[in-house]
Amino acid sequence: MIVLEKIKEKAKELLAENKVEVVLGFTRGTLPGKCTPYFARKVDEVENFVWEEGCNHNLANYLTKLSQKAAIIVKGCDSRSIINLIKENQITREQVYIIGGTCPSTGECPDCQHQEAVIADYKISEGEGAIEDSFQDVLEFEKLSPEARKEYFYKEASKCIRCYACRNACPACYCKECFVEENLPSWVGKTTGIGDNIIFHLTRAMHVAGRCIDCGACVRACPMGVNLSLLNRKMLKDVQEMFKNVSGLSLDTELALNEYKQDDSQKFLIGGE
Amino acid sequence: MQNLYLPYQMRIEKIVEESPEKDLKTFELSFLDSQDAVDCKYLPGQFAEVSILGIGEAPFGIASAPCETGLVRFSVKKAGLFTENLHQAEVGDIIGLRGPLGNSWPLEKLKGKDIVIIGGGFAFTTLRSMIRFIIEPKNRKDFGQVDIVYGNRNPGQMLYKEELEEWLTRKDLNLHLTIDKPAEGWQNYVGFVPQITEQVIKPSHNAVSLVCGPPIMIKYTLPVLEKLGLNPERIYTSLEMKMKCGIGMCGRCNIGSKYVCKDGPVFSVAELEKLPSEY
Amino acid sequence: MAKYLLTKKDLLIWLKKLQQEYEVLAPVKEKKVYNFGHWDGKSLPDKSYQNTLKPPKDLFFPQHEILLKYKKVKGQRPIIKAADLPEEKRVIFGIRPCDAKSLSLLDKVFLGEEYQDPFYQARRLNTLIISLVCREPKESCFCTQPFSVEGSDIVLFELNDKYLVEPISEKGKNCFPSASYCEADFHIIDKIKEIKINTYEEIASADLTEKLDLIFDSPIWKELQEKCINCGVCSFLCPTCHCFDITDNQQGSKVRNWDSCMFSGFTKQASGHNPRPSGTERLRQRVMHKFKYFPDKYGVVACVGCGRCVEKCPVNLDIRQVLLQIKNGGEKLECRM
Ligand SMILES: Cc1cc2nc3c(=O)[nH]c(=O)nc-3n(C[C@H](O)[C@H](O)[C@H](O)COP(=O)(O)OP(=O)(O)OC[C@H]3O[C@@H](n4cnc5c(N)ncnc54)[C@H](O)[C@@H]3O)c2cc1C
Ligand code: SF4
Ligand code: SF4
Ligand code: SF4
Ligand code: SF4
Ligand code: FES
Repeated sequence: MIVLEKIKEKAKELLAENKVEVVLGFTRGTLPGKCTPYFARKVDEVENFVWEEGCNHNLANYLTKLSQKAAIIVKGCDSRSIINLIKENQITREQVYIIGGTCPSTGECPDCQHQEAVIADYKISEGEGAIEDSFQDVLEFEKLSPEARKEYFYKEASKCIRCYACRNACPACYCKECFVEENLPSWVGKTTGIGDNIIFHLTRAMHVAGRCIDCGACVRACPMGVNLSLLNRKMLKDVQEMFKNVSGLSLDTELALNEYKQDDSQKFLIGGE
Repeated sequence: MQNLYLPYQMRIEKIVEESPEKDLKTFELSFLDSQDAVDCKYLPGQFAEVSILGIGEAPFGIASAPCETGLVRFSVKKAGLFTENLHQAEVGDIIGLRGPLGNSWPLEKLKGKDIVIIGGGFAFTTLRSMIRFIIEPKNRKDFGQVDIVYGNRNPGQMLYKEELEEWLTRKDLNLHLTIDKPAEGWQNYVGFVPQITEQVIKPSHNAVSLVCGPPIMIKYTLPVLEKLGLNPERIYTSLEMKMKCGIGMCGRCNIGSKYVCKDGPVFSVAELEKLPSEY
Repeated sequence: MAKYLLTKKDLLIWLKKLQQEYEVLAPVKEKKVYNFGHWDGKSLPDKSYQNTLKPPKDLFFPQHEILLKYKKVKGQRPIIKAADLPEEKRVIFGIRPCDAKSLSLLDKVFLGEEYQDPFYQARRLNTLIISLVCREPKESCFCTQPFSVEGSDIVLFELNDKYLVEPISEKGKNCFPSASYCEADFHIIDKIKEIKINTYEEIASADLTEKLDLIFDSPIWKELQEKCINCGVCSFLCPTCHCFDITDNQQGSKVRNWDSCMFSGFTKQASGHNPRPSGTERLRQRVMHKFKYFPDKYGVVACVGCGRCVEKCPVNLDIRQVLLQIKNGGEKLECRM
């Protein structure tokens, strides 16, 4: 049976037997190559699901907002976000039924290491398994002088219009009130001046460090083509090296920055190792 | 071209602590430049954006009346960033005022009419301005009988206590003060505003009513007023929405196609019935 | 109105001449994307130019703008000064008719009868708008008036290697030396018809406004907004969205910044009360404002069909589909692949 048929069959069964109230997946969008998140609540709506190139939004993002029992059709990155959300007590394992597959939309992320769902109640396909991340892009970047690296980030950040699509598309950004909106005190100015933009992006990068799973949702959401990927992946690589931790792979380990060990690396501190 | 955002500079002349909870203060301000006092002409019911440099601006109903020349008064409840900072201000400090903004109580429609003023809590500010306007000797003959019901949870929360004492003794208005529950030494009414309104206001087909207070009070007062013969065209209230510009540009304070800052804040209940209930 | 025929060379000469007096802004390409920038004095937008990523509103109503500057002096009254008004004289060349029209909509907001925003006003007065009619619409566009002259001082049509120039406003007529060029005859003018116009039916028609009147409390809003992530993309990239916030910064200025009705804090009051607590009310506000409230107030819809929000919405929440669904009570826009 082809993958899409398996998805539909399972979704219909779950809805028909009232095991869930809604199934999250994708349907075809209105522009060529685009797919759009779709919430099926009735059995016949299941027919609208697709599973193809363009199904790339991270659907785990919606789980924190749904109060109903839901099933979700996931690829590798969504499944990893779900693991993190469960570990951070944002959702419960019981609340969500996971239909796991292998990403059908790798065109935009050719170097993806985890195309296959790492957690699932029902598997629709078997993938190739994980590949080791070589961090080639980050290694290249690290070779640049501090000035050149700064220049690069400033150039990227200067394009930002502070629409917060990156933050809102990110499943790790679930805070009810984000630091950018707080005003007692106000942590960051609201302008798109370079200073404010840099503070926004660096603070966000720090805040999702150890929780970001490199799904690229933020990069794809950005209308201005700000390349946040390098910043995220640099954090990813640092966390991996310093704390020997890759988040979103197992429910049994702690998130790197959520636990403290005597022998934790101090390298990230100014004047550290 | 005049810059719309440039505030008048005001000196704080007097600060009155209005409640035992210390979260409500009245600020009396004077204009640093005397010409500003001439330019800043306002009517009861209008509001202004008050500003502290480096902190921001927030809208407040003007509690003084135009006849109290040279000074402007606001009563401010501590609520967030701006109001916390204003509460820390001292006599002599300089703050900004941008306004007046918005429409006013419908003065033309009030002329020659009996007036029923109903207030609850600290939303009494612009009603106080209206009352002060009416009892100004040169204006008093323009209005008929004036009845006021003003309620609070307890006596301590009454705004403008000294002035209320004086008003209680006046012959040209009937002031009915009420508190929710009996309290020691309280000589006036006890009961919620809608109840007391029903008790003390006589049915009238000539009266116009101005109502301001917490939503729950308004909700239960409106049916009482209608029972007393006031139709929705003759009941007015003042609304609060989050505001920034105060001049109908920043797009924040709309209810349906009305901007509360520019088309309001005063609306008749008849007008509100035509708007979506999104406030 | 008279139209004049110019060769590419004529056009460049005329623009160069304008450049002596004005800062000429034109669509400038960087990494496949066009935005308005300083014109290099020689290149004209090629076939790959459809429209700019950012709408032209930020040339008049920048994303952040200093309104006042102040200085606190201990023991003395503070010094508060209105920010200087922009004086630069500019030409915007190559703006699309939909975007030119959007300026006439912003005028209604910023240049009202009672209040006029001085910064916006100064920039509008100092700027000449030369629009360039599209050759064919983008996949995401849905304007129904590709030849609209509203908001333009001069309109240009591209015909293969020639340009038809039509001065519209007095300002435009004064800046175009019409005596130096030939008036185009009707054969040439007829060629304009070859420009492909959009196949969309008029989405924002009168019956939509009527329908919106009736569905404020409908459950359709909850359904429509479900996938929306409440970001600022659709409003920040919309040429007609004008919402802003005003804040004081620590460097001594009062600043205005773009804001959006899609953000959760937009209408939240200090008490915590929020008249639009969820995405449902927010999407409703966006649609209602554009297609109901704005028409109620000003007689026109506040959408020019530029398609930016359609193209850039991170979850492909397509406003055309939203409107069709409202109009037809459920029917969806088919994918046009
Ligand atoms: C027409 C009108 C008249 C008012 N009159 C009075 C009055 O006489 N006395 C009084 O105590 N309060 C009044 N308010 C409410 C007062 O404006 C808010 O309490 C105040 O803005 C809170 O600001 P903050 O900075 O302390 O709170 P924060 O939550 O820190 O708010 C930040 C900013 O948001 C805006 N904002 C937040 N809440 C409101 C709100 N409820 N209304 C408008 N803007 C808001 C303001 O611009 C404020 O500076 C009035 C509001 C309006 C709209
Ligand atoms: S999505 Fe892009 S433009 Fe929007 S806030 Fe994020 S980086 Fe900035
Ligand atoms: S709503 Fe969308 S299509 Fe309409 S003018 Fe705004 S960005 Fe363009
Ligand atoms: S209310 Fe929303 S839709 Fe209307 S102008 Fe403001 S941001 Fe745009
Ligand atoms: S751009 Fe799309 S996701 Fe973002 S607020 Fe607009 S409709 Fe919602
Ligand atoms: S406060 Fe800006 S529009 Fe009303």
